[in-house]
Parts: sequence; C-alpha cells; structure tokens
Amino acid sequence: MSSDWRTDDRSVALRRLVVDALVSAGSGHVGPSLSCLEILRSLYDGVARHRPGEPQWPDRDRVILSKGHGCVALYAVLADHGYFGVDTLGTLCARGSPLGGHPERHLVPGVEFSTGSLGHGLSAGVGMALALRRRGSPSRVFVVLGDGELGEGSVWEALMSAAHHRLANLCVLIDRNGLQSSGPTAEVLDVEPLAAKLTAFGCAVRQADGHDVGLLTSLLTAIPFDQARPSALVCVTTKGRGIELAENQATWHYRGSFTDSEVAAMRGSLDRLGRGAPG
Amino acid sequence: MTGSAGGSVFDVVHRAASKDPAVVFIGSDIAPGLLSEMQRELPDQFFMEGIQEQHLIGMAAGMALEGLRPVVCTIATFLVRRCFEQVLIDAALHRLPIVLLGTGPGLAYTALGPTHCCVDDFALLRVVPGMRVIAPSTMAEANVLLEEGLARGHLLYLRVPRGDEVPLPAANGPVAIGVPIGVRPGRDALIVCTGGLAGQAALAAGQLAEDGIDAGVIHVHTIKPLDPAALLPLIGDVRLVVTVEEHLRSGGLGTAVLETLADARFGHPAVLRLGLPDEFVAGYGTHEQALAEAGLTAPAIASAVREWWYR
Repeated sequence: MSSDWRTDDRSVALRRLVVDALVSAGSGHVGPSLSCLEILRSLYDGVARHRPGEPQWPDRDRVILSKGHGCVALYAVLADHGYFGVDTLGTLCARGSPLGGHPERHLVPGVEFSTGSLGHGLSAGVGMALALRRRGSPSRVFVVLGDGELGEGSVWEALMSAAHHRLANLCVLIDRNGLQSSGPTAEVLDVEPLAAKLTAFGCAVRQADGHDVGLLTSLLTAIPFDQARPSALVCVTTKGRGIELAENQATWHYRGSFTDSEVAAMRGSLDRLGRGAPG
Repeated sequence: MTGSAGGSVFDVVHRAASKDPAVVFIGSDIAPGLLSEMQRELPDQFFMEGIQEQHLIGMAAGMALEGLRPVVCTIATFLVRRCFEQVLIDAALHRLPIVLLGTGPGLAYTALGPTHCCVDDFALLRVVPGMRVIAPSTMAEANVLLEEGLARGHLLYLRVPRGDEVPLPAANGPVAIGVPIGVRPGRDALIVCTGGLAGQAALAAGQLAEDGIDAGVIHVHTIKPLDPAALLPLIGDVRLVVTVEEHLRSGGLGTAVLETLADARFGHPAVLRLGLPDEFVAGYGTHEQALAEAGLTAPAIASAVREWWYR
C-alpha cells in the first residue's frame, strides 16, 4: 500500500524517536504508536498546560493515554519536551528501564495513569475531573482512547458518568484508526456510528483528521465544545502512519521482532517523509 | 475498644468526612436514605452513583490521585468480583488510599442465591499487593478498624457486619489493623476465626471445655496482612489449629494460616479448616440455615473439633 501522506519535520523527528526506541527494544506496538502521535503532539505542543520540569504542578492539565499500548509515542513526546532524557528512549523495555511496553505512573515523569489493560483510563479521568472541578482547579483532563478499546463496557460506563456529572473539564479523544489487533474494527466489532453514539451518551462531539496538527490544535483550544457536557473528539487516523510497510496492516499492530530489512524499510519511509515525500 | 466508634461504619464515614473534606463516599446504587444526613450536610462528599462497579473503582482512583480519600460501598460480591481488575490496577498498582466497604458478605444473602453470596472475597483480594483484607466480628469492631484505616490512608477492604453477630466476650485488648485478638487461651487446640463467626467460635470453645478439651480462640479480623510474628506465638504448642470462616475453605483464612505455618516450618499442629466447600452456594433459605448446613454454628464447630480430637 502506498501512502500519500506528507507531514512536517517535527512529526518526522518524533517518528524517528518512536522507531528508534522500538528498534532498540526489538519489538513493540508500531501501528498504535504512530496513529496517535499527532494527537499527543498537539496536546503537549499547543493545548495542554504543563511544566516538564514540574510534572506534578497542581494546575497542569492531565493527559491520560488509556490506550497504553501506544505509549512509545507518549514517551517520545514527553522526552522531546524534557520530562526525561531522550537517551532513555533507547532503554525501552530493557530490564530495569522506566519505560515499559505500557506506561506506569510511578516510573515515568508525565505519565498520569498506568494503563495497558484497556478500558481503565476514562474512569480515572472522570474521577480526576470531578476532584479538580470540586476544588475549583482550572485544569482539564484529556483521555486518549483507541477505537478497539471502545469494545470495553467500562468505557461506556465512564461516558455515562461523565455526561451525568456534566464534566465540561473532560475531553475524550478517540484514536479512530479503524484497525484493531485482529483486523478492521468494522469486521471485528463495529463501533459506528461512533459520533452518534458519543452524542447519544451525552458528549459534545467533533471529528477531525487525527494527523492534522493545526486542525487538532484549533479544535482542542476551543474546548469545552459545550459548557455543560464533556467534549469528545473523534480523531480519524491511520494505523502505522508514516511507515509504508505498517500502514493499515493488522500484522503491524504489534511486532515481536524486526528483521534488518524491516528496520531499513521503516527508516527509508521516514527518510522519504523527511524529504517531503510520502512515507 | 477504642475511639468514638458508635453507630455503624456509615456513621464512621460521616464523622471522618466531617473532619476531613478529602473523605468522599461513593455508593453504587445502594439503599435509599443511606447516609442521607451526610448527603445533606456534605453534598460535595457524597456520591450515589449508578450500577457501574468497574467505573466507580476507576473513578475513585482518579479522585484519590487528586488527593481525595474515597470510600466505595456496594454489595460485597459486586465490589470484589465485578471490578477485580480495577481494584488490582487502578487502586492497588497506584497505591491509593481507597476503602472498599462490602455489604452482605459471606452467606448473608443466601436467599438471593449464588450471584449475591460473597464467599470468595478473601481469596480474591489476598492476591492484591498492598490490600488489607478485614472481616470484623461486629459492627463496633468494624467501626474501630475503619476509623484506623481511614486515618492511616490504607487501601482496605472491609466486610460490613450485618449487625446481628454474636459478640466476643468483652475486654480482649486493643482492636487494631493487623493485630489478632486473643479471645481465650487454650492448651489443647486453638480456634482461629474471623468475621461474623468469631462469636460462634468463642461459644464453641466454651462447649469444648465442658468436654475436657481446652480450646483457645483468636479472632483474626485482618486476614491480610497476617503477621507471622503476631500469629505464631498465639498458636504456641497446641496439637490442633482449627480455622473458622464464612468463606470457601480454599484461599481464605485457613489457607493463610496454613501458609504461615508452612513458611515458619512450624510442623506440629494439625490444621482443620472449617468453611464452605468448593461448590456454588445453593438451596436458598435463611442465613442461619445456611451456616448450620455448612457446619459453621457453635455446636457444629465444637462437634468438628471433638470428632478430630477423639478420632
């Protein structure tokens, strides 16, 4: 499959961090990390209030990566922002590294909630949003979920609760890459009509190209979409975005190992992207 | 007993919330009117949520990460089984001060069938790192233990007593989390009991004394952590240890005692585990009928000990 996607230097550079980390680890979630990269970049670059030198700053916005298997993207963005050294990315999944295949709060500065088992992050986000609102905090809570993750019933429990409590300080971002581990979500467990479902569950919903940083930033800067409801942004993405070999390939959800030619192909895609050509 | 522990565990929650605005109560669709005074006085600290146990544990975790001290309450079986992973990951992995109050534990809801009988909570929660698993003998004891748990910020599960338990004889020393209560000494056997059956175990020891078997009794309200240094001296050199619990024979107090003895290379006493068989609760009827059928009344406990002793 040939990608016609083009992006800017920053997204290419962040992808290099992701790919280098995965290659160092020798395995990992390629596709899910690359689909959510611009979502996380948009949040940390231009939307969320945060202080890398003070990860527990009380007035920070909380960002929870509920689809914890996309954590290499989060690690890359956090390292790039200075939460920890970029060199640490090279220790991904090594024995004793703070950076595992799923993110842990007590190990990684900037990680707000340990995730990995799906369907947990949004409930924690609801609890944070309730507590923050109660104490009059200006902080918002952003929770990034995968579309396959929407199969977990607990997500819908949390959505009902968020709407019931009118949590306008909560924003749900769905990485709608259309592909889960075993195949297309449309075939495995169809989540459509997604925007209508989220609306029916009480969210104020928008939809956007999840790789368009400018659009994501402008939409997320405008939250809450409704003063009395949680915001939900369906980010339409491509799994494995930017790596031709991996794009939209279920077999690239997780790789247990990389051959030399696969590593070369990944780097070749990034080189092409870096020259302004499609990956 | 110590502390100002009148009323029920819900009064303890109300008092704690009055003193500390971080304490919040989260019920999952439980009885109307429960804690209505707290709801009136402290509306920001009272949450009566829907039937969504998984979500509520995650929500409590999010609140706790922001400095609150959630107390989550619903029927014990739903609080343990339905949301086990949330308890493990959201609460325990994050090392959060969350209190879980499980109502109607053990065979209390026999009439409602196996879906409502929480006879496996000790087994399930004993494997959760950092969890304190507590089964008080009476409401008064529960109140003291809950006060301590809230004050210390523990992650804690507590079986809420029904309120009709046979109390232990008075003046048994301090009630503190992790400290077994010595009810009576005994040279021959030691009954190690927990939860609502502690009073029955004490009565059984009295009956055994009449038969010439000197059975001591200790009440282990804190099943986890079970401190060997506290338990082993109380066991001493009796020939028989009898564990009594309103729980499956596997995975709970009896198993914890066996593990403690094995780890200590404490080879001597035989261990007789009284509890429920590896079967679903069946047959309906009253709580008392179910306990009698399971051999968990004072006469049945005494009879089991006698049978072993004179076998």
